[in-house]
Amino acid sequence: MTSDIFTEDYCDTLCELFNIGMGRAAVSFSEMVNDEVLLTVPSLKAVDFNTAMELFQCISPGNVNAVEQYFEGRFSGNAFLFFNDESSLQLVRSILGEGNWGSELGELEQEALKEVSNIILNACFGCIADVLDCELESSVPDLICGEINDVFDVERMRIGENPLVLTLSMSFSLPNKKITGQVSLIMASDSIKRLITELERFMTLYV
Amino acid sequence: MAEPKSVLVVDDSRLTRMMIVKMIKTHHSDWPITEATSVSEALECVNSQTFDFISLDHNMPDGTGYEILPQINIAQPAAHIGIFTANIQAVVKQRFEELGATFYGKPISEAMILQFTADGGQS
Repeated sequence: MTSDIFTEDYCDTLCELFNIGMGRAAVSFSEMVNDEVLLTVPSLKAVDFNTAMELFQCISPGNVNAVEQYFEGRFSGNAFLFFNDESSLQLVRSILGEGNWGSELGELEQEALKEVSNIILNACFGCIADVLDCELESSVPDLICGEINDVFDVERMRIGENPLVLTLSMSFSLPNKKITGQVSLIMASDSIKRLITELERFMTLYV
Repeated sequence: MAEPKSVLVVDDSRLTRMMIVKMIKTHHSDWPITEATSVSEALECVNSQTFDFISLDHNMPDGTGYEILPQINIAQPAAHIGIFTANIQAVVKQRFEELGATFYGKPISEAMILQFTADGGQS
């Protein structure tokens, strides 16, 4: 079920902050691939943990590659950038050039995927931190390849009680290559409340 | 006293529309401001009213700034158009500037809005 506390206004505000972050990330990414990166309009949903698991299992029934970064500041949580196998390979080929990449990600390809994700997630954190005027520290990126259950492993993640999942869907593509990525944040309910406080403080400046 | 200018704010994000409207109203409380949340709404506005300033987003659910800007240029030849977008790649900026618009990268700041409303409004 969708969240009652994370209302449409908060979704709109956070979505726009992600949109700006993705725009910044696209500049770096376009320099890496030496081509224009096309961005789609993002949408953001706030759902409970079980609903998120069901949603992801429908969207990505097979293997996914997820880069995870823990972020911490006035609010904290786990951020993920997901790519399915095909998008991961397309992305790696765009950065490293065409080659004998096979159908699985080797060490170099994994490093490339982590680096792009690091740029994208940090651009998003950076934008949220700048606009909300708070500091967010992030951990080094970790790549998890497997099924959704492996990615959302509650024992590995440092999530607290009643976690909420904020799921941002946004795709970026290069000419003739469609690469779809999805950003998700998992945050405990007390952290969500602190994020809401920050968003409210910011939004009241413009009401 | 300078005559009030009319403004159209086109953006699918409510937050961005609120920010632009608030910043303009702070300095020009008497300027009428119309909001459009999509390409289709923006086209309806530019084909039915005249504006001095138009702030235009690029990525919107039903189209892009690239698609709509030539039509706005025809419908509103005297308007000063500012592109306010998160897509700040050099190639995007260049393309909009070639279409005659001024480019501003998000996040939006008050200085940016002051520059936008100062530019081109003296005719």
